[in-house]
Amino acid sequence: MAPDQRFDALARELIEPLRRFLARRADPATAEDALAETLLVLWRRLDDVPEQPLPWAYAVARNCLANALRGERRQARLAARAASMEQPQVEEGPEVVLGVDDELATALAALPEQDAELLRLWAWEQLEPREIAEVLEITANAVSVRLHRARARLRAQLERVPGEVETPGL
Amino acid sequence: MSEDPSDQQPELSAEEAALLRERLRRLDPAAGLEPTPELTVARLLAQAREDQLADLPETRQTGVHDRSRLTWLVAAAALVLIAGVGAVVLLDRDGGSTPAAAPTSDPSTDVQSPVPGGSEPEGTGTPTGRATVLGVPAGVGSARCAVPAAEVLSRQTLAFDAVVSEVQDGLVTLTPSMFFAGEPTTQVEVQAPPEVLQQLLLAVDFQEGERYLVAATGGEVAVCGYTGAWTPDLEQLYLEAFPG
Repeated sequence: MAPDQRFDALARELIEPLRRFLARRADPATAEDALAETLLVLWRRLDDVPEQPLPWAYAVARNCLANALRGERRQARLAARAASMEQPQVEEGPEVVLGVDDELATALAALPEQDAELLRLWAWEQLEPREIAEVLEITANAVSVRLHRARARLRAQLERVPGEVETPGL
Repeated sequence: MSEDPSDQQPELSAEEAALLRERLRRLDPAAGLEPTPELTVARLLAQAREDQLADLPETRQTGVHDRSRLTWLVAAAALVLIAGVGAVVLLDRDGGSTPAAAPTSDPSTDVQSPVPGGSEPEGTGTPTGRATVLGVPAGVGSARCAVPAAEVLSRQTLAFDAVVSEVQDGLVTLTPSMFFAGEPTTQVEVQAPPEVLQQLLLAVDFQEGERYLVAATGGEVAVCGYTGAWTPDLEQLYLEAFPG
């Protein structure tokens, strides 16, 4: 298959899950930018794409998103400096669906980011530990251990009385 | 970390984990996301290809650019539409346009007539009598680009020599005289919201009655120096890119 056709077929398969992945983690404009960057990397590295492309593509998207967010923070800092006294502002990512399960949403928000991301990959992207390992570029064993711990921490947060949740950054 | 009480907690059972997973799923902020429209998919694919072309190592030697690819994103119409209806509308509208570009003296009938040649070169094929409709990449005015390269140009799916017959809000109409690549048609329209088209005009400066070399891929006009007023140098680039 010609590279063009291969790219088209692959990108069409990946666009929808990638779009969701990014929409879960960034504001719409940043997500759209990161999606375009991700597809560009996909096109450039077509020969590197593994047989199961999705975890690999998520890892690329994650890096593109991190770059985009770094850029936004840098711009926000520059803008804040230009406006002297203003605090830097970066548009927040999407909130979880509110009103559905606020208790769980609060508990998830209270977890350290590393734990929350593991749980998101597990529950929202519906990935298994070996796939999460590919996304996070760590071993599957490390994912299993951390995932167990993240779930236990989430449950511990849920068992706390509302209003007593810990702040992240342990 | 050692004080975290959850570290001492027993692991969840498989059933508890499954319930928690399902409960988390209901919080998914992307749950209500509509499927990606086909037009957006086409635009994204075209965008990735175009950016890849613009970033080829071969082009870097001729002048590195650092334009943000992100500026290209919010594009207008993206697909190349071969639209017979468009041709009729276009020809109806053409009655009073510039003599250099008027396709026919009888706009109501001669949809299939060849384009008047004048001093322009002959086309490479018989025009279909239909209009090709192109879009414009957004952010075109803010792009900084590499020096055009024949190799990049050769990958464009549509390339032609044309005279601008009309410029109006949201629409530039061109009458091609020769196609280097793509299916020949008697008309090509570039359509975009006026503010987007304005950016294109800043980049290319389409003037009625003037001759241009136009390239496009993925249904969008290629800018960055690939589309421009006819000059011997630009024509040379087109001839190198499309030697056939």
